[in-house]
Amino acid sequence: MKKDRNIEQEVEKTLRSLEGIERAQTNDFFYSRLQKRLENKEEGVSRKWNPQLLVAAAAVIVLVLFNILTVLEYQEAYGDAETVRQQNLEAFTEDYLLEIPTIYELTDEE
Amino acid sequence: MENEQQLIERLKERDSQAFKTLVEEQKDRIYNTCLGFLHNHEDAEDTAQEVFITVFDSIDSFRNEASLATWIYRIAVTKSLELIRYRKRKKRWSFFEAVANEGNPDRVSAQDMFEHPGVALENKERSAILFREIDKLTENQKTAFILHKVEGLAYKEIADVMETSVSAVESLIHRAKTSLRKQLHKFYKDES
Repeated sequence: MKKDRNIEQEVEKTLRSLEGIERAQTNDFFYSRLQKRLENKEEGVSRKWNPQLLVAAAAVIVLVLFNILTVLEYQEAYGDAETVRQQNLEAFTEDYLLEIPTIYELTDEE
Repeated sequence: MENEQQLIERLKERDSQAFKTLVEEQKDRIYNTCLGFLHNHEDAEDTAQEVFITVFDSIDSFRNEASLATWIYRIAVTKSLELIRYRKRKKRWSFFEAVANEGNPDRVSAQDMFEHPGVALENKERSAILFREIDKLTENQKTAFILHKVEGLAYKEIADVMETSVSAVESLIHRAKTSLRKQLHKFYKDES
C-alpha cells in the first residue's frame, strides 16, 4: 500500500518535472553557421556540373558506346556466317541435283 | 520596429538583413522545439538551421493563412518528426552498424537519458525519465505535449501549428498525460 503510494508520488513528481522549464538557447555561432550553409548550398547549385560529375558522365557514355559497338559487331559476324552457310547449302544442292521442285513448278509441269 | 507584413515583404525580396532579423527573433524558439523532440543538441541545431533554410527558400509560398511564427513552428515540427522517423528506420540496422562501428557509443542510447538545459537541477533526473517516456507517445500527442510543456505555447497556438481545433489539442494533451502516467507507473513499479 505504502509502496503504491510512493510510486504514485514519483509519477506525479515526474509529470511535474518540466514545470518552470526555461527555453534552451542556441550558441553564438548559430547565425554565422546558417549563413555558411546557405552559401555552400548556393555554391552547390552553381557547381552542378563539377569535374567529377563530368568524368562519371563521360565514363558512362563510353561504356554505353562500347556495348553498342559490341552488339553491332556480333550481329555483323553472325550475319556473315549465315550467308556463308546459305551459299554452301546452295552449292551442295546444285552439285548433287537435290533441288526440290515447289508446288507451283509441279503444277506447271502437269 | 517593423510589422510582420513588412518583414515578410522584405524576406520575399531576399533581403539578408530581414532574414537575419527573423533568425535572431526565432532561433531560440525553433532550437528549443527541435531539442524537445530530438534530445540531442547537434541534431537540434542542424534541424533548426534546416528550418530557416526552408523558410528562406519557400517564403514565396507563405500565404499569410497563419502567422509567420506559426508557419516556422510547423516546419520545425515536421522536420523534427522526419528526422525521428529516419532515425527509427536507421535503428533497425543498428545491429549491423554496431558491428561495423565497434567501440563507438550508440548515439541513440546516448540520448536515452537526455537532460534539457532549461530544467531546474533538482528536476534533471525526473525530466530525463519523462523525456524518454514522451518519446513513446504517438506523433500527435508528442507534438501537442512538447509544444505545450517544453515550448510553453497556449492551446490556441498549438492548434494553429497543428492545423486542428483547440478541443482536439486539449484531447491530445489529456491522452498524452494519461499515457505518460501509465508508462511512468510501470517504469517505477519495475524499478522498485
